[in-house]
Amino acid sequence: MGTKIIIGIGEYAVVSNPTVLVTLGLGSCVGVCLRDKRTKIGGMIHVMLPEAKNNSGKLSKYAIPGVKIMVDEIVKKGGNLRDLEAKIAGGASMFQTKGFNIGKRNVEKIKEILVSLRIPLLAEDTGKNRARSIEFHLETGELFIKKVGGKEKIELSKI
Amino acid sequence: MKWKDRLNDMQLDVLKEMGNIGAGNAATALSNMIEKNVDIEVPKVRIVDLSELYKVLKSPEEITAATVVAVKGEAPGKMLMLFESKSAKKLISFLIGQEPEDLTKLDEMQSSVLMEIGNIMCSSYIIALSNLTSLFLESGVPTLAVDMIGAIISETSILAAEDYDDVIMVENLLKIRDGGNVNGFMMMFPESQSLGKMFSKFGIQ
Repeated sequence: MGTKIIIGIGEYAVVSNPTVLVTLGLGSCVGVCLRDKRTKIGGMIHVMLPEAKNNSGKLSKYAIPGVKIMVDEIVKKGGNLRDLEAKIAGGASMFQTKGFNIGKRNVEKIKEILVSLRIPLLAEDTGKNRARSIEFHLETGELFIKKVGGKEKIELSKI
Repeated sequence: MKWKDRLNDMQLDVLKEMGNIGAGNAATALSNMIEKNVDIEVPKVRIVDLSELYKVLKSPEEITAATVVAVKGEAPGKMLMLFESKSAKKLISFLIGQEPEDLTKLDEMQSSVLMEIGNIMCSSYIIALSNLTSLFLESGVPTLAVDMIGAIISETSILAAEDYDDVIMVENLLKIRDGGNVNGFMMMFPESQSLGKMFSKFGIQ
């Protein structure tokens, strides 16, 4: 199964197979997983907000320019932009607030970026009000998602 | 920007004292509601990198009930009242006599009891802070969430962190005596512009 790498909030990692990328407690944040289907080089980024206001601080917190930074690094490490495939999870609204929904805006922005880079979105598990923990397996491209389900059990699903 | 490089020991002590007084008030409110003694432990002030939040918690996937209350007024921020599953159920039973089976499927009565406990405690904390600092503070509308503790804390941190890459948490542990091991956890997350105002009220910059 290879090594496990945990990605913190607003961080990203680009690795080659075999590796499992993990991120915990995605609320309104979105985990974007990219993988080159041929070389199996890929990455995961834990996006907090849609867009950076200026170019200072930690840029991987933001969908723009975070996702592009990760794509560039995948290409630099030998991945091919044309072979990249994406899966995303997160963007929940855990606390019912009216109007302002960061999760939804994060997901929309990420989809725009993927379209502009012509990276196909294979699967997603987004929205609703439950937090998610995710595990991305570079070997198979499978994305495992943990959520609190009924009877206070953690439910595991795969996309 | 990071807080870690900007706060000195004196300022951290002030935050700790605010936590002490706030949580003391909240504990009294809880004690009146359930007619049991409530103890508080010495507060902790932590400055944690957002990217390292998951390391702070022993079991980030533990199911927890959280009431979130926004602090509004001159020094805005966020407050969290957390009860892990077993404690939340016991607490509900203290007030309406019966323990719920499943925290993820609370009926209206059970969830409003739990949210109201959190609301009263957070509001008491905020009132105490307001009195202490003579800043105008009020509490926002409470919301209740039952989810993994890691996600609850990181979600609230993100709301308070804004442009910062780390977050300040003032945390208190509350224990109910003779209540069969009921523990609660209060956390205050001041927003960046609030700290300066609070500190200047104590004559420190």
